[in-house]
Amino acid sequence: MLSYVLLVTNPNPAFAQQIPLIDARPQHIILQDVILHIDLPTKLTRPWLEQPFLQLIWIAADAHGQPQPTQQTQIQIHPGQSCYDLRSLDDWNGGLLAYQLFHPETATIVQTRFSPPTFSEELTLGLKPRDLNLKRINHASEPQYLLGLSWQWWACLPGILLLVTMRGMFQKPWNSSITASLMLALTIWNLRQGLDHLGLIQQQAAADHLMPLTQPYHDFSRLAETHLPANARWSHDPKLNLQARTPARYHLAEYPFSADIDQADYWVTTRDNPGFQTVLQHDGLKLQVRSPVSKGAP
Amino acid sequence: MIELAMLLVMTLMAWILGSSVVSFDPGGRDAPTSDQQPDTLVNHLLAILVGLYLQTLLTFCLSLCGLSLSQILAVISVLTIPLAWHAFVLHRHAFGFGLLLSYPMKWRWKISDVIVALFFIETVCFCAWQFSSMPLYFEDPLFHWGTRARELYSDVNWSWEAQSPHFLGNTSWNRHYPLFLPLLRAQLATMVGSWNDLIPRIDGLLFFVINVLLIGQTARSFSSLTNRGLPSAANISLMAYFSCLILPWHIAGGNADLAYSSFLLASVIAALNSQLFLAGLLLAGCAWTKNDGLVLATLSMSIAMIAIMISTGSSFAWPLIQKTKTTPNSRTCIRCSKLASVLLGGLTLLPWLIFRQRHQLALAPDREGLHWHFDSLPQVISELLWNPTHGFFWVTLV
Repeated sequence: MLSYVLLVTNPNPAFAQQIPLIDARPQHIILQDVILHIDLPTKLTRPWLEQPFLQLIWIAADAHGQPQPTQQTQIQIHPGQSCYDLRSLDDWNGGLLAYQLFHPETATIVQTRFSPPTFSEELTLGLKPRDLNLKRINHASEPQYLLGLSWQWWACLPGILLLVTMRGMFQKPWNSSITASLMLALTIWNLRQGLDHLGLIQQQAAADHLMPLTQPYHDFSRLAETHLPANARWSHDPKLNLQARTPARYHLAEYPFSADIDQADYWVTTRDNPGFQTVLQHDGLKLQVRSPVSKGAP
Repeated sequence: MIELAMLLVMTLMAWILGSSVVSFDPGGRDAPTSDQQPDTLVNHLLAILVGLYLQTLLTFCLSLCGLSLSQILAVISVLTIPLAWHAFVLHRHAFGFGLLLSYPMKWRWKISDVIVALFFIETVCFCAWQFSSMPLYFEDPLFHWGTRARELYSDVNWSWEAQSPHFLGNTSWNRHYPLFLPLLRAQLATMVGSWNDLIPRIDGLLFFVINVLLIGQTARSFSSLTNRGLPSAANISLMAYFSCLILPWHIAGGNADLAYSSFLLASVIAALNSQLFLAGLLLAGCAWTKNDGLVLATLSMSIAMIAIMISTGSSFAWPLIQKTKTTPNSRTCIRCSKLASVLLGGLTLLPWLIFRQRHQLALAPDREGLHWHFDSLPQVISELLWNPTHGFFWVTLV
């Protein structure tokens, strides 16, 4: 999967020089004051759930004064020009000294800049869809999100109250105004979410599927399930990546699994191996059966 | 849609099992006042959750004795027959088509009610779309809750023996997680007769509906902002719930968080209704669903209960048990304190707690060294307050 790394160090120039960065630009930026703008070329993007991530790593000195990553987090990057709020990372003490966004596959350095947010950017950030990725559905909470909204958003609230319930404020008890305003605000919020859902359904209708990177692993595992004879003992290549291994273990859960490859009749791999015949091949993944004369896996 | 039908059968069995427990009160308290009187619908929902908890816990205990899932299902079915009679007699007024139709027909629909209903339908439709067009795709449901359930169902790559390489599932590093969802899903697959991708996800709909009804009904009963032609507290609470951006993904994603939130919410509501034994039982359900419940939900609820105790000015803990007479001529009976009632409910999880202690199961796969010591306290507090998965602390406190 594509990924980008943003290294955040403490504001000590000598310390930062120890961190290997290609073409890193020296900066003196306090993360709590600014937002990050990224212009991600469309050719580098992926559909929806498989959008690349920006990996943020906070680096601090260890006991020997050597730089060590101490905290990290991920944000999902959207295609084109977009801004990202890092101000909630207030426990990442210190500022940003050097940063770089690097696309490892095409060796492209992605255009980035930091700036204090404008009012319209604040509103954009508040309405931005929540990050959602294959790994961490349960790592985003509403209270944190709401607490993380900037003061501009909270400042809008009395204005919204006034606009929405101007009539109600004079004719009904004060709590009528509040409940009507809250209802309207939540309706707008939910409408936005409903539109996001519709957009995804349209994307699904336009493309074959929404997960071009991981869907083949699921398809392969489903096909393998139909190819394995009953009670066939199977294993997988220890070098198989986690994204391929996890669906395989789920879909083949009803077949005896052997951690020892020598004990298995079938195995899932990406490689060609002497002594094994490929019985199924799909998008780079192979289901191989042990040839009668072969002894042990390579 | 046999999966949905079987889920409904399972829910009915759980309701029957839970109904006989919901009315049990070891505190032997006086009849609750009208503002404390638990709502009938809420009581039914609590009964379903308690039933699911007891059903899976019983399955766990009987599995340790060597019974297969289908044998256990037969045992539970036999158990529910006499209990069903009791439950139907207890709630006979609530049956018939009247119950199903009376709510929407009698309701004086306001615009805000229609809006809430529309967003409920939108959420369900979007989940149905996910069920039909996407595989089980998130990592945790695949790895922890789906694979282990399927292994349990097929009884392949699964063992209850600690010496086996398949102890609690072939991916032995995730053996630390509790078994509520794997057992529930394995039972559902046994009832359906085969496994498919809907089985590890469809329970999300059940927990979603339970949450919606619990939130709506509780907000309604605790609020005075009703019948004024305005959006009610129930409507606003439900709209706030629907506005959780990741909610539809959780419903159809197969993760454990939704089931966990149902238990926690139900536990808080039971505590607010002074059903403290039930609150303890449902808190145990939290710990039976996710390990977070073992530490963080218990801590949240303890704080919430102390707050309730202070606000009501009632004695909470001591004496744990006392002998009392309601009238001078009546028999002496034993009553538990509020704390003892909660503990009694929580102690039903003892079989699992002993099992995990015996096999040294940790709180998380990558934190096997995590245990109680003074240095861990700041870590626990930090997790409780700020960890994104534990935002429920604030909800519980509020």
